[in-house]
Amino acid sequence: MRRVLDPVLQIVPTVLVVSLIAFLLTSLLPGDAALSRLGLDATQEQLDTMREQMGLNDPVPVRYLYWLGRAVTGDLGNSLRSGEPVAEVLARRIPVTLELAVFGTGLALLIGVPLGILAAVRRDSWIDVATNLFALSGMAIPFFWLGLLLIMFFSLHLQWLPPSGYVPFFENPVRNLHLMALPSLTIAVAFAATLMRQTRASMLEVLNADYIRTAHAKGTPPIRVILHHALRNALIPIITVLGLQMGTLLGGAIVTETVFGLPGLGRMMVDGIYKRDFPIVQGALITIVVAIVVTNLLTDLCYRFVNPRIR
Amino acid sequence: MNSMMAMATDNRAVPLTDGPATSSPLLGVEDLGIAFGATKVVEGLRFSVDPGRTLAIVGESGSGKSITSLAVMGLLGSSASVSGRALFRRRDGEVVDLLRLSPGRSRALRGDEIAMVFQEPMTALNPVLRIGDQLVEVLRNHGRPTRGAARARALEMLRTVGIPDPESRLHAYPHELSGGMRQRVMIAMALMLEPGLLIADEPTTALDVTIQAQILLLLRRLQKSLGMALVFITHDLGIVGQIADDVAVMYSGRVVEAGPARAVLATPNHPYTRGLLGSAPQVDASGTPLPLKPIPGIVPSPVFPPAGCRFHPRCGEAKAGLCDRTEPVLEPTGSARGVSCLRWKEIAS
Repeated sequence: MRRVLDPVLQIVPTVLVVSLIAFLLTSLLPGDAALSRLGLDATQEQLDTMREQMGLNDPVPVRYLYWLGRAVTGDLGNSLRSGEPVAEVLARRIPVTLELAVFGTGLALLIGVPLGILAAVRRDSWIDVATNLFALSGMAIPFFWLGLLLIMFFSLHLQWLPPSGYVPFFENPVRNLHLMALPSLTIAVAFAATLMRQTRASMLEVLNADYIRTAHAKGTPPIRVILHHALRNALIPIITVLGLQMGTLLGGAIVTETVFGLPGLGRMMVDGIYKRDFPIVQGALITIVVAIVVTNLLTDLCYRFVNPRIR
Repeated sequence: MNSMMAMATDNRAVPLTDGPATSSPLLGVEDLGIAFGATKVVEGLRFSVDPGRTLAIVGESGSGKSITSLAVMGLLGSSASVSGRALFRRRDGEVVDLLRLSPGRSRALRGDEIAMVFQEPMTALNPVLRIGDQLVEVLRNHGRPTRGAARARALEMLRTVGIPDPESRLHAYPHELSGGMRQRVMIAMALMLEPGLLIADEPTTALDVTIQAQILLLLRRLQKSLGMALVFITHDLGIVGQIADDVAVMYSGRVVEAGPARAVLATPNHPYTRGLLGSAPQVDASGTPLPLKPIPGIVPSPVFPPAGCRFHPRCGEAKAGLCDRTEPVLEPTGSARGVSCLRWKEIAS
């Protein structure tokens, strides 16, 4: 139980530090909330009054603690623009990004792991060369460009899939999947490339291990040697990479949501920055960081499950 | 029948399949050659093993003994080219050439009729799979046992190899066991289906001396009770005397001396065999250690083998103009023994 509890408790300081950075980031930027709400035409007097009302004249540590105290109870403040509570905006936005992340990760696993296994088993064959080429281009192509290429090809040229828009899954599942296909593929490609290379590398290492020779010596069918004996061991570093790549994935989600017009967390943050809507930016930032930390925690637990030696 | 009788004086294969199959040895390796590209690592190798007998293959690292066992198992990769024959008599009496089997038929024999135990018990077991699953897998690779039957057999084998508390060991992972225990598990795994032939590649080298003796005793006991043939690969002549009926001494990919273990150890004919005996730590009757006499130099690289006798650069008896010109062949010396040395008669007298 401790082994599960310890990593969970380790999250707390991480999230605290990040919340401090998120808070300071917005108060260190030029222009403040009062200016943002009243606009550039406001007089100095109006601004002073607004700052007093909003508590912006208090010292930074006091404001942080005040903000943190409310954040813990789920009150992340209200949008400076629409006045809507940030928590409600988040509740609407999180499912979009979550869906994108889950589909993206799923696709990346479905593409990257089998290709990596194939490349390792058929080392130095044309399959190995082709997948390596795919991996290099996959990692080199920027998200926004790949997104645009996919729109050009699948939406404009083939007219198979819609180029942008969003419908919640539970409203119209088919339409939702149509709309999510291209964005998911966009963030999956780079992720799949990284997973493929890691899978290939760790499979190559594992396939040379003594216990693989033992498995063959027992008369184990080759396919079972690869999937049961080798992959089970190769999964350990693959899972590590999976966890570490979550940050990149969410970074990609920001760009991808913008390209495909998806109303997710990334768009929320980008729009918030443009509009100097600080509570919105803070809310989105903290959510993304918590998501990354929680994913790393899950990775850690997964790792313990797959590797009996560190249980 | 003595298993070394099949030795021939020239490199032509003596047909071992003639006559009723039961009179042939269990495994007869003839004129085995293994090459990686142009590099021949094993050449003209021949040996045979009968059921219920132990053949020790002895040699230094690099003499080709491990690669020979992998070739017999069908575990050499496609980068190796193999020539010669390795005739194996199956349970049903059919004689097959292990070097010419299709991958599928080769796999069907491995773990069932031919099994192998490796040198490193620490790395030979899969670290993420439970001991019980790894044992049961042997049965599943060669049939469709019920869960209960498979578990019962795994338990029985763990008990047979002397693992205490076998019920809980079934659920253990390899890292929870000591090296000696893991080697016992490896042996249990190899013997799950009572193979006719067990190849043990330096199974005690990585273990403590006290554990070594236990594992040797265990192997000898199991061999007798199952009546299987055992090929025991080692670099340690001391072990040969304890376990082997016959011995084949390998040097640089060839057999240089072969015969009944006791006779070869008592009166070695080949200078290399003598050198190996002199290199082993020994004490005289009063317990005083005898001085070690190491063989100078190392096993030659198979890429640039020396001309003539491959051992001549390290041999104290080598004669210039003879040993560095003419390549010796394995010739019979009487009483089922053979030696591959141009000067063995002069040396013996």
